[in-house]
Amino acid sequence: MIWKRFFKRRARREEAAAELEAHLEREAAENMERGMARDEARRAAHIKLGNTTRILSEISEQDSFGGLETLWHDLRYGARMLVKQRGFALVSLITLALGVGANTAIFTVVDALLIRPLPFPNANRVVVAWERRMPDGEWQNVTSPANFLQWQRENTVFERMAAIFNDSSILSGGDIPEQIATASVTPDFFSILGVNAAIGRVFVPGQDENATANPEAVLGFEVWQRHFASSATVLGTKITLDDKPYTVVGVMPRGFDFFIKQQSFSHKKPEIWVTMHFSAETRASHGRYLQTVGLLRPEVTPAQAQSAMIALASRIEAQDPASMKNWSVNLVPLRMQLTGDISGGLRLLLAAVGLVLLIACANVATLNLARASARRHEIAIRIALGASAKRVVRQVLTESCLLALMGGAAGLCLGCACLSLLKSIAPANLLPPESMSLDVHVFAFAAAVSIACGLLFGIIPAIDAVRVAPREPLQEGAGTVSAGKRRGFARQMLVTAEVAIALVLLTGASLLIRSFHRLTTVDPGFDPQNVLTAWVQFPNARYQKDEEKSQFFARLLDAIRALPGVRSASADGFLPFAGIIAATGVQVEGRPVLPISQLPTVDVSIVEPGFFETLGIPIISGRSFNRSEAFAASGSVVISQSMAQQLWPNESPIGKRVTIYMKRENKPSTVIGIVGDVKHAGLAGAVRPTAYWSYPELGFQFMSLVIRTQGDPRGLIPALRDTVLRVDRNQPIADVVPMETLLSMSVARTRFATRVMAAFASIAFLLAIVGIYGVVSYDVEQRTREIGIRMALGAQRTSLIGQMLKRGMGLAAVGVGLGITASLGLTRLLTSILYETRPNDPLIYLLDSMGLLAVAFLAGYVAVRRISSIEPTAVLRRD
Amino acid sequence: MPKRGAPPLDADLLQGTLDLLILQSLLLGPAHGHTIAHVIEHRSDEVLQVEHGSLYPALHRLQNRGWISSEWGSSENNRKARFYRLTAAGRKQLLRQTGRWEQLVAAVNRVLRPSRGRA
Repeated sequence: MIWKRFFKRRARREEAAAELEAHLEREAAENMERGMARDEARRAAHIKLGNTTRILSEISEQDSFGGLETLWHDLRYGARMLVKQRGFALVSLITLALGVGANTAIFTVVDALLIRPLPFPNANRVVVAWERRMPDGEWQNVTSPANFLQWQRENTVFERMAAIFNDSSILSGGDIPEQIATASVTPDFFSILGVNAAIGRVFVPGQDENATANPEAVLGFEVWQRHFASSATVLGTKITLDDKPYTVVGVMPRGFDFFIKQQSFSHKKPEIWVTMHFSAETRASHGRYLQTVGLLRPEVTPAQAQSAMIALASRIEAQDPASMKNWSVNLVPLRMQLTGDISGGLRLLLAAVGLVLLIACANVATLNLARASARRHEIAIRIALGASAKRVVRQVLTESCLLALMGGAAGLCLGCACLSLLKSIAPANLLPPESMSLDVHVFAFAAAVSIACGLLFGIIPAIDAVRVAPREPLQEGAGTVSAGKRRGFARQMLVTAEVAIALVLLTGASLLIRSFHRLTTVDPGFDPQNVLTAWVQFPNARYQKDEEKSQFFARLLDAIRALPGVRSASADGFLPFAGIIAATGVQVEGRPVLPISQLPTVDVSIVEPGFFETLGIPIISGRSFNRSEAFAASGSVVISQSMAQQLWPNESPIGKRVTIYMKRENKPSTVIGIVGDVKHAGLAGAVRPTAYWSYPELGFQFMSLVIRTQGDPRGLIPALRDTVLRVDRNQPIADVVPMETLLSMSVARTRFATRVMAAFASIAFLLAIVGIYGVVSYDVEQRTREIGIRMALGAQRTSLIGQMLKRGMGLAAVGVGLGITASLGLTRLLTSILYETRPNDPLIYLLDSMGLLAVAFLAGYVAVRRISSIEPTAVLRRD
Repeated sequence: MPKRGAPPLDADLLQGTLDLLILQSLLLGPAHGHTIAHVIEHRSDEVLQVEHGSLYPALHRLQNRGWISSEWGSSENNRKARFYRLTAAGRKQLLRQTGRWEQLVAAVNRVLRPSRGRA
């Protein structure tokens, strides 16, 4: 019934209008009969009938769903108001969008990385067991097969333990051999995590580790898709890794991914898992290269496990002091291990983004408060004209909601944009690979907070207006000084707080930027420009003899040197910034003989001739390796400057002999040259003493090529691949990247955190400035009348401008003061992630404070500039 | 200020009364709005002044409830006018409301008289 009327309401309204018109006509006619003039008669009829618009709206209200109709009207009115107050609406929108959007995006990342449970059923009971070198050496050191097996046999706290070795192998059998990241794991590995295969099975726990007869492999989902065309028939077939056959027993589910970066030999996430077997010889080996994980017994806490394992480690140390002296154990919960290196930075970002949300809320509140008095006037007029109080509150609420919803929508868009931006600038391997979508709960939270803020402060004028008689604000006019003094205070507090928070973020970001700048201007010890690097690894079965390997590299390097655009080429066992290098104890000839565990340690690498020249590492004295040393071990060693200073502080090391404990049988090597130090462990890392042997001394299965080119090293990549295949058509190369990329990847996370932090600081800065502008310009508007009177009484415009500006700047100054105090306390938390930058660097505080004040001044000035256009006569006439 | 403080009982009473008067005036036969207003004023010896502004919304309300119906026609002097007519439901409603009104008047009188007697 009402539906019918609702859809015909326009026709019905016209009908009612016609009826009223007829009524007026009739009444006027009667009046004229009584002797009135026509106009007067018509007027009297109108008076008697009353306001026709109001009658009609009363009638049509009966024909509509009251709520819906009113809502529509209110929305239209609200939209008109927002368009009218474009500035206010726009600033509110931007504020809401930034506050809600940025928050949601960053929290989504934090949630994915830190809060969401790890995708392993047993994750909470899995700990990583490291060796720890006492008293102040490495806390997370890989362990040896001998030690791992003893832990596994004698511990009382783990249900199971497994060892992991991340490796790189050549997967052959396809058209082109592929270098692929693999992991050798003991059979309990998968059952410790509690994961199962998607197809087939994982390794059977407790399988005899000596059953080397049939090595097994489990494929990662992606390699299964890429190489085996997602075929289920792959189960039971043999694949060839480094020329050795493995039987495929299972395929892991999509997204399964387990990689502990710390001291990993390979720096890539493994894609194929194979069973690890210890030969009788390796079972006794004390060479440290294994990562180990353990599944805690259900009743054992990590702390209990830690002390039990330390006791075990002391027993082992007592049994075998020669290898185990000063080595203890350190257990790290899996989650901490996997996220430890980024959690600090992420918490920092989370805190920063929370501050941004606070500022956004404060801004929304300030804006609404500033508008409140203008609204009071408008609302008073509407009430005086007959609007009901309920109706007015409802209308204002609708308007605030409209703005809030638009802000929320803008926030959602911005959030999505921010998230994809974060994804695109995030360093590789930081974010989870599966598609990460905006977190709905977080979005709801951030939106609710800021929208509630807007609503709360948005309806103040309405409630106010309903409480007081409309006469009051109407009489007040637009410019009484006393108006809104109470709310003026609240506004000033909010703006002061905003400035303070903005300064905290600003100093935080400045410190990070300064630290990052310091970091990137660190001299790495070589020239990374125009150098191409590539990883070459032999399958174990080929190139068994050292001479064959040396000859392969000599042939390959000669072929590369002959390529156009190549200035020089060489190879290195461990590239700088790649994360690993071998290290061992050294015994200088003629000094007291000590056990290995008490000797000074140095990093050890092996290089081909021309290595130092190719990378631009200065040769300080002596010579580097010559061509003949590329083919046979000559017992010569080149040492870094810091090694020279540490071992021979007062004499020339050239010609001295030193034993480097790296081989089965160790003979002293003769120092033939000293080269400059290289920041091998990364730009922020300390320089470590390093010894360089020529390649044949250790004859690794792998080397990294370094090639200095004339122009952009990327241009050489195709020619390089061809050359390698020409020298050996079964030999792939991997990780072909320019040295500069390695350098920039090594600081990628720091750069990421710095950029995001800088973005937050800019947002905060912007919002605070908007806040100041809002307060000052509102102040001016409030006092237009007072200013007019003063001008009429002879006050100078400039002095009035100065006065108004002073009030704004006063707020900013207080805010800056508070901000400095807070920053001094809070930036101390940054100490651990800053590189050669003091968290209380006075210059940064000074610059940031001055910058903020200067921009605040500018914003205030723009706001008070209006004074110069105030015409006293116009202002006074207005009321 | 609008009469936002007015107690709702009065409003209901007034509205109900206007409805009653409209229905009563239509008992004689179809009429248009203007006539209805004048009939009420005339019959009450000008004591009850119908606020014309509230007459039309009331007419619409009664029609929406099905107590009266309306149609367009020509009035005495050939002007277009909307004529309202009492429906059967309206007639029943009028009887019921008249009964209630009389009860109400009697009750009010009972309340008023003793107090006057005591004074």
